[in-house]
Amino acid sequence: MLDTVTAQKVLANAIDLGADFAELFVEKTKTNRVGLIDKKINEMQGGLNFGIGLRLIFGTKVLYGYTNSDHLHELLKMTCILSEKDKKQPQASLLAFNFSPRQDIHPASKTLAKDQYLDEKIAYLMTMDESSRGVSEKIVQFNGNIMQREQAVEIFNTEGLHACDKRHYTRLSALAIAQDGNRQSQCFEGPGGLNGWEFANQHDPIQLATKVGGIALQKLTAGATPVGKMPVIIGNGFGGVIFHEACGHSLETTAVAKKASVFWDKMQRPIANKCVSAFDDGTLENAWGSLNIDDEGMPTQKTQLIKDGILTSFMVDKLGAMKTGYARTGSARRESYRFAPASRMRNTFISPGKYSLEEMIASIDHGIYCSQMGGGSVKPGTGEFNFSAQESYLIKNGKIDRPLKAATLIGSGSDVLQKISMVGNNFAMAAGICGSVSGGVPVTVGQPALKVDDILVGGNA
Amino acid sequence: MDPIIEKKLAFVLEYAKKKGATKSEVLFHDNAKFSLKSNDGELEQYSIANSQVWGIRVVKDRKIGLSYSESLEENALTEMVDQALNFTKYSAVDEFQDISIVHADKIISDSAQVYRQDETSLAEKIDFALSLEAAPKKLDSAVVGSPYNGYSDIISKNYIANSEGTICFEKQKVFSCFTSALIEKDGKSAMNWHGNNARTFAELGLDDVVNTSYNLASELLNGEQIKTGHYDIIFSQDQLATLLNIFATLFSGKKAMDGRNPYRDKLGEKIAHQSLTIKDIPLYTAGLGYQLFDSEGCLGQEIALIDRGLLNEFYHNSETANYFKCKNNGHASRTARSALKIASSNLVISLGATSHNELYGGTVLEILETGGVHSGADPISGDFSFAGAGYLWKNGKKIHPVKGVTVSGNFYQMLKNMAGIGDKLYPDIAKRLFAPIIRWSDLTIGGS
Repeated sequence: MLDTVTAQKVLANAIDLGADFAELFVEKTKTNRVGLIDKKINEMQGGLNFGIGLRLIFGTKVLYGYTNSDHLHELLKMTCILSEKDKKQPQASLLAFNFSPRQDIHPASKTLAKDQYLDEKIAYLMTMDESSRGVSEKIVQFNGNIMQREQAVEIFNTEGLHACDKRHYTRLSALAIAQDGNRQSQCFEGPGGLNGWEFANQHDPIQLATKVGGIALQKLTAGATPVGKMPVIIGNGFGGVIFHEACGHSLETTAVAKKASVFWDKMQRPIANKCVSAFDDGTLENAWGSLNIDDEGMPTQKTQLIKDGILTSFMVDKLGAMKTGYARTGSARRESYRFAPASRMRNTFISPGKYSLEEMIASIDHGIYCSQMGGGSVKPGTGEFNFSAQESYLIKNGKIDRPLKAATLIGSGSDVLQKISMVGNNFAMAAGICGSVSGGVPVTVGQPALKVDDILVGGNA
Repeated sequence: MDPIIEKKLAFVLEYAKKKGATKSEVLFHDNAKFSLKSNDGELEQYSIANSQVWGIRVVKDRKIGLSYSESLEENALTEMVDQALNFTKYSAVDEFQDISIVHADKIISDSAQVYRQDETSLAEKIDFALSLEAAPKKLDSAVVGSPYNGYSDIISKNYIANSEGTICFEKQKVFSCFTSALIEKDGKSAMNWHGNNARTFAELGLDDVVNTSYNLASELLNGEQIKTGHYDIIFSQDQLATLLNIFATLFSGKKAMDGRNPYRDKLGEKIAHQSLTIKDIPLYTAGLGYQLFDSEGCLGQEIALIDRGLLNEFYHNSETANYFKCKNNGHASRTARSALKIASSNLVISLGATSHNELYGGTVLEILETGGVHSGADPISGDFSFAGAGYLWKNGKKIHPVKGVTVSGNFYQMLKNMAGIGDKLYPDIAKRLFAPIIRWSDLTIGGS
């Protein structure tokens, strides 16, 4: 995308100005989005993103700029403006580019470069609409979206790295709204993969739409949620968002290097109950959060974060490695050329345990089962988190009693990790977009069902 | 206006016409952003960014097609138009969306209002950014860091042109800053952040940002839960703005059109306490949402969304106005990359007459910090449940800081249960909400 002569001249200029390290991140992304609402296609759009991000590092200070132009004079101008306050006698040297061909471990066939598959996408959305409304007359609205994206990246740096990758993303979204008199409820599901349009073959539109329609309908009958501390079973799949937010972000060197993490000094020390082991894995084939290479050009890895309750690794990017001394883990990520890379999660999950969901429910006299989690947030400095449950049930005397509405779980990550007493055997994963310092990136969260002995539930009873 | 951009706008419109578009509308955004972050007494990040993007919306055979391009080459612009026209082959006939805003003269925003001269030097900006990080630590040795801090300024130039002869241009400049205080003491930790947005550098106010961040973090260090139960609540302006933003569905003509506004059929009905009047005022000069025209080029108009408790009007763009056969009130929202929607500009809540003593009388929980509001709120049902922290007040006196509690209720019910509304306006950080202090009755607090 960017000719190597231009890249070389820009990076040589950065070295001449005294940068210890310089990197160019070139991106060209095609997008296509098809939306349906009210039984008709209401959105049909696409476009082209193109830009170049330039990162200069002086010591551990990062200077970052981006532009939509690939002209040499524009890139040189940006280099000079960025380094104006920090320029010094050159100390580093520019190594010759050594192009490393990527190993494509996430193959895709129905890519945007070949076709936009618009007829197929429209048929898929129409089938979802019909199926969701078929659940009940009380499903009064259905909103479906299909997003496909093809991101080509090319990375050059002063250490001689020249790497390219092409990432194919597809995400399906289904939202059903149910109404009964004045009561309304909704349910959303959004599976995604690092894959071409063939990803839709793994997700039957009828099943997906029927599921969201069924849950929206059931939520119409949901009653008040109890308030207070109680045992909670966090469901499998998207339930992993709690680990992602409450612990995962605190294991990124972006937070660790600043000591803005409760775990910054806990390496090789117990941070969770012994039954907990956790990974961040960028290599899972075609998973939404996977990569071939990270956004600094390093091949991605499977990183064990916690083993039997012991902290075994952080997620480390180049800057994090420079600041903390830990080895890089292929975890540098950014939303686009508009962001400098930072250490971020990929596919983060807690390994399965031995208990069935039924055994876990049977162990609780009074508590709740959050079968489907919504989003949440965390303060990395303190680990305090909050999460909403999209679908939850009251557990009474070891049995599911009735559906609940509007439940929120709050606590602190380090505390909850110690209070996980049962780990289920029903492992599943789910896709999401994680927003943080380097923008919104695709991530997968995952876990089996987990029983937490004591957590504050915010309800409306 | 840049004549080169004007020529390109004309070129794109002409090309679209030549290729068969019945009507077309082109947006061009040109942004220049500068930002700084500090860590350990030094600049950690220094960023400059220049970005440009073109977007087109075409109508052909009464169908809509959208496309955008960040590539600045001429062939990329023609490909963008071709793609948008191709999409119209697959779109359904759209009875209501059109490109209909007509202005005989160019519309240019008031630069004295939205782009004020500012001669702040780079050195001053760097000093300011370093102070954002250093100042909290100087206040107290228990402050172990300001892990999240930053300064930025952005100049945005936006062009709108359509096939009906409309050309609009707006140039804005906004300054922003934020900092945080992370405090550790006696095995406990607390963190809070605060920020500000302004039209000039001088208005950012370092001391206020630093002190607010530090003071709340310091107090929350000793925050405790309160007993589970029902309490009257006062939300800070920032938290109220967040809630109003999430439940803005209530005011959306677009959501009403799409069947996703639960109050779609309630125009003219009482939906809130009779003391509550909420207006949207695009030309509110103190607001950073100031806009002379919306994203279709329609001139901004003041509307009363809720008038003395009655649901009075929805936000409309040309599409929703066509659908509901009502007047377009100039609240279209669209970027080069997105479809036509609606948006607010500056929300202003009318003053009441409740005194400060009455607002803080009896027992009331003041919520200054929330977490997970977006995920814990359902705009359809109105139910919400999220984490909160702030102060417990009794009989006009602050009793103790509160943290680790949940706040739950139903927003649509809450609007009816207002216990008092103050007599002075305060802005939120974003300077897009201007509201008096409001006391809401009977929300559920989950605590000890």
